[in-house]
Amino acid sequence: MKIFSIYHLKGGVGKTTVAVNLAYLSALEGYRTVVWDLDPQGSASFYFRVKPKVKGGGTRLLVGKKSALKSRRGTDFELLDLIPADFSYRKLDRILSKLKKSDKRIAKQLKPLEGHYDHLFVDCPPSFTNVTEGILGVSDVVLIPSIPTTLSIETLERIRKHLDANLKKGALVAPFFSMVDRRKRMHRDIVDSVDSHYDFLKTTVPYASVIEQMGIERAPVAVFQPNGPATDAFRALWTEITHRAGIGHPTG
Amino acid sequence: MQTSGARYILQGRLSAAGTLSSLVPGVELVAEPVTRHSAVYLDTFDWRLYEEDREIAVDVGRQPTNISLRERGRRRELLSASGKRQPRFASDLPKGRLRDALTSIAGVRALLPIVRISYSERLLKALNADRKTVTRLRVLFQSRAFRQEGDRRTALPDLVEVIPVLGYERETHLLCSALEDAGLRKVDEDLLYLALAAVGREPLDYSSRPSIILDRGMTMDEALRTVLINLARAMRANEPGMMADVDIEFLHDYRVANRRTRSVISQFKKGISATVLRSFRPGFKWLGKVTGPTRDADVYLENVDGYRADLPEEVGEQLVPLREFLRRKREREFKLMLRSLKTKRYQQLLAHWESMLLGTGSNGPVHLHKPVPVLPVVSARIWKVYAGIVKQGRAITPGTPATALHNLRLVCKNLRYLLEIFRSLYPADAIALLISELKTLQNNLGDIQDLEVQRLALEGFAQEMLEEGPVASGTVMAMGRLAASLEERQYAARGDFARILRRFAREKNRRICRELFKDQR
Repeated sequence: MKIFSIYHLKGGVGKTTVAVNLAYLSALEGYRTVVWDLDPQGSASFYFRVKPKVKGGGTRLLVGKKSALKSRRGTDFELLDLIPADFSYRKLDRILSKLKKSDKRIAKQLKPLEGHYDHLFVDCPPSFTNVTEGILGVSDVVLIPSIPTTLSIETLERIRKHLDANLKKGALVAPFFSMVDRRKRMHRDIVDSVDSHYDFLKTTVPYASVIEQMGIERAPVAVFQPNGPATDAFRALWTEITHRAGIGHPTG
Repeated sequence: MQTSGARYILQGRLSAAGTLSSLVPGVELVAEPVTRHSAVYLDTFDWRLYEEDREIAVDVGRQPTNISLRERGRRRELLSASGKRQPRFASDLPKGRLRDALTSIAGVRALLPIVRISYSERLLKALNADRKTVTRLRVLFQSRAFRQEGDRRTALPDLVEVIPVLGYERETHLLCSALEDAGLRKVDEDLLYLALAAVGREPLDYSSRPSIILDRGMTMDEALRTVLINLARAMRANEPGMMADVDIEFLHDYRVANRRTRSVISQFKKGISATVLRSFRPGFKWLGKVTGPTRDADVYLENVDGYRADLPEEVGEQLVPLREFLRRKREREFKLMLRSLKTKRYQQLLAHWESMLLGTGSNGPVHLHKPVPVLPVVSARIWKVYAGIVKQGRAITPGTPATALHNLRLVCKNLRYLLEIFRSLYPADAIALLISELKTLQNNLGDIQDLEVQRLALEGFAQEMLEEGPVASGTVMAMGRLAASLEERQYAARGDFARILRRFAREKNRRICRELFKDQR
């Protein structure tokens, strides 16, 4: 099972929309896919029309046997499941810190998902905590959606430094520009001139009202607008990621 | 993700898919457009896919053809691939996961059409108040089954399958209850099963493993007759596929049935009527002889690819002419075999054998064996063969000539046949354990002998190839290297023999054999 984490220290950079749309495309290609909505806000759960509630809350999720398996809900799409958010996730870090071998706990709790899924997408909360550290430490791909602003790039530098010390060997760190508004000069300038050392993906996700409509349609963009720039961008992003991460097609 | 759900037959007024919506109050059902499908379903002669709960369907009338592997009776494709035509073997598929998965299930067996089904499908989603899909329904209607184009098509019942959505089991349960309250009959059979029944085919009607049910109260005559009729049927079942050269396993299974027949006759020859022995033993021996060279060529051809893996890639490439040589040799041998199988001798042999066993011959029923109870005779025989293996095996030292190991292997084979054929007379788990222990010993003896036979054969092939015409020096050298590596492996296998025999002959196995066979004599 490949683990894709969608992470940024800042909120509102488009993490959830990326997680939901990429997971949908992954399932569409035939990969058995699950999304873990780790953000207490529960936006990914909302998009999939699943109640943001987990039996036993965060404690059970971190302590319970096979709790990740037991908490799953099927989405409206074949091959795509969700581990919903729960409001108690806001206390997840405190719960984790009280447990023995807390640094290995996240990996242990994810283990039962192996064999059931090809891909796990984790929609991470915007913070640096033991929980996010645990997730990022087991991820094969860390996707960092970044808005093209000076501040965002500076934050990225800090994230990179932090990640370098915690990443799994061979993991791919893939920052990419999200919510790009090419009408804004600053966005254009930053996208076109970003330092190559950040190793940004070539694909950018545009700022688009159709992405905002996900909140009304409660579905991935490709479902209600199969042909459009936003859907095309997510498709291109998924293709680029699978290519960079060396993932073959599930049917051969 | 879906898990398996319940299946119902839609009848009478509910037969149209559209009327389902009115069935379940409070649940909104949203229907997707109807799709029409027509597919050929494939399986091996011995139902390897069916046995693994899988089905493979090839779409008809579309180009390129879509070939999909599914869990039996389910909609979702596990794997799929497109191809220009219907595959005959797993190896005909394009490289990829479907080919790998099918190869691991079907092996070298041909994928034969078992039935054709055309059907209409309508998917429905049951939505909750959040308009979230909580259960899926799949309605299959206007379904027809037929063997091949042009045949009469048999109508199949309309089916509705309830597909649960993970985490919404309560909703699925409510929906199922509503369907049952409306009078729908729950069924276990899926569309493939119903279609097979409609065209008169029974899944799993052939297996290469004999399942012969005997009774401890039988006489030896009754038991042997049951066993030999079963084996004769296995030969007959494989005959057409073997003669049409559908795949190499038909010949293999045919030969195994023949060998088992010969083994049973020879093990119990003391009690078997002299007329039967005289009339049939030489015939079955001849049959083994005329079918042998083709089977040997099949084995060598299969081994060439394994040989290649033993050598560095560039050296392995040099074995292509060997493969070609073997293919030509196999073609010649097959023609010769076919000629023998078309003779009157062959046809009479099997026909007379069957009528003797069934008592339908002109002489009426023939006594096959002395009128004695089955259990003591079979038990005594198995004990004797087992004890013989232990004694013969223990006498083998590193310096013993290879012929002793070869003889031991033949005796082991006889024991294996006896255990497999008469297993229904004894406790299942004890027999399963003995067979598994025996297998380890047989594999070791097989390695020792086969590696030597293969090495000698390679030398023979090199000679024959050179006689046929010029052969690249690289090919001869590659074959030489291969022969050396086979010798090395043979040496290693011989080194393992003493340890493996000790395990087979250990007290635990001896005690089981004593209780099962010696005390029953």
